[in-house]
Amino acid sequence: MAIDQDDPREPQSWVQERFATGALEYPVPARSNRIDFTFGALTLVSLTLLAISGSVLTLYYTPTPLAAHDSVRYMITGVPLVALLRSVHVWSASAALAFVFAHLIAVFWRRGFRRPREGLWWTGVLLLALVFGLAFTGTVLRADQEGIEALAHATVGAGMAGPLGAPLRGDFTPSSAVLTRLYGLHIAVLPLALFALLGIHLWLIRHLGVSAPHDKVVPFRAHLRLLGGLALILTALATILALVLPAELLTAGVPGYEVTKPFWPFLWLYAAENLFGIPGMLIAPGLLFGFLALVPVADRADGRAARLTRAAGVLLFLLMLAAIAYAALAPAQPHLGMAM
Amino acid sequence: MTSNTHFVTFRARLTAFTMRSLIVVGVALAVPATAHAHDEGILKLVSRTLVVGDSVTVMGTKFSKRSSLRLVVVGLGGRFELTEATTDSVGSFTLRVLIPADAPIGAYRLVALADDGDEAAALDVALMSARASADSVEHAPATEPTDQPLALERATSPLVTWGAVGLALIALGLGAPLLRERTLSE
Repeated sequence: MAIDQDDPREPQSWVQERFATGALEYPVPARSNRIDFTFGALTLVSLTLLAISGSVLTLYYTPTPLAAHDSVRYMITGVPLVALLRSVHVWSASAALAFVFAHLIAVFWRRGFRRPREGLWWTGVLLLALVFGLAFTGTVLRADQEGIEALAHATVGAGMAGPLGAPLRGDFTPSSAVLTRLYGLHIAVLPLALFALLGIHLWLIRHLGVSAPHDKVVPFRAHLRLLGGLALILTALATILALVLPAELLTAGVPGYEVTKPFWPFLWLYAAENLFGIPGMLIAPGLLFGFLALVPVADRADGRAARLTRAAGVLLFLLMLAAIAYAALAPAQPHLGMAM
Repeated sequence: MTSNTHFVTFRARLTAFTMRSLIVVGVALAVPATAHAHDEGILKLVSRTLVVGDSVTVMGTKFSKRSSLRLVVVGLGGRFELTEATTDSVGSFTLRVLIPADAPIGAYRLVALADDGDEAAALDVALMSARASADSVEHAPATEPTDQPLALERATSPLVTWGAVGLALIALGLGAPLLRERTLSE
């Protein structure tokens, strides 16, 4: 039962009085305790694990092309705690991407983008792009063969982006390598943008509420206990996975060759590049993010447009899954004119 | 005209605008990127740590056939023209170049420039003095690329391993009752 903070007869605990924990008593739909309503929070937990483990990794990482790989190697072979945290970092990245997609699918399916939650959806789409950006730049930083191949793709992509991509071109400035600039993106620019967007996203959730009927409500505190439980279990799982299946490192990258496949969340892009060459690298994400941006515009009320939007979304999702499966099973293939 | 008609007209215009934007974006994405006038190549060095005043063998492959390239090193210490190279009938070259003795040591990029001034290939390198090079551990020579993970001897410590196991168990022990509480309350 909610405590009326203004009622002098209500007893308040020491903590409640000083830290305004009574503010957590606001009502949320009881349905928000269902597992499909927790994916967003689990993404946030994964991002928190990434931030904590990543902060430690920055103390050991050298963001220069010739020393980066050696520094990652040292993390694995030289410092047990850092080796463990690096593995937690990699597993948390996988978890963040898996949960953000699960969250996207759940919200899409329950049409949580409809008025007045369009802003919530669009900030979520931008957050998805940022999470992809963080995963991509993180891959490059390893400076192993996979990282060097990802870097080659970034440089080509930057070349096609015109002036916008200039900071990621090798000849932008002689004072810093592209890898060093990507490091700046990974640890500062993208996290700051993510933090700002996340703030807006959470603000909108607080004020617009989740897209579920409010016929039966529970205090947010009760929902928070569930999320706390899930956060603890996710942290435990990431730690156990880091111990049992530690993150690997390939040999130092040799530029000009493509012999590896990318991190699993990028396999659909790899498949698109297999099929359509360099334009595929732009068409596939353009199609996904273009569709996601238009969803709230296309599906406003029940009717033909709503049915079509849902069908298109399901088709796009199945295509992505098929592309991931194809890329995972097909033999590695070089792109961008690289050798194999 | 009623306000409702205005609204319907506005929505129709908005839909038309959205459709036009979609077509423009679609066409822009479908148009393949402009092809380069020259091929992107691969530069290879035995070591990416170069000694100033010393000579080094530079190999190039997959460049445009029978084309001219200029090899330069570019870094904070300046820009140094090394030599010109001409590729053979398969787009390769091998030549020995002298690293200028007056080049300041530091991080550089070895760049192959095509006729039009575009970068055809680049490689991050470090310039060192002969003395520093002799004192330092030689950087691992460039190997053949592979997708196999390194067989590294991982640093382990019983304190870290058992500490992590303990923390994971505590987290599971604290988290599971909170989930159970939610199941009971349903």
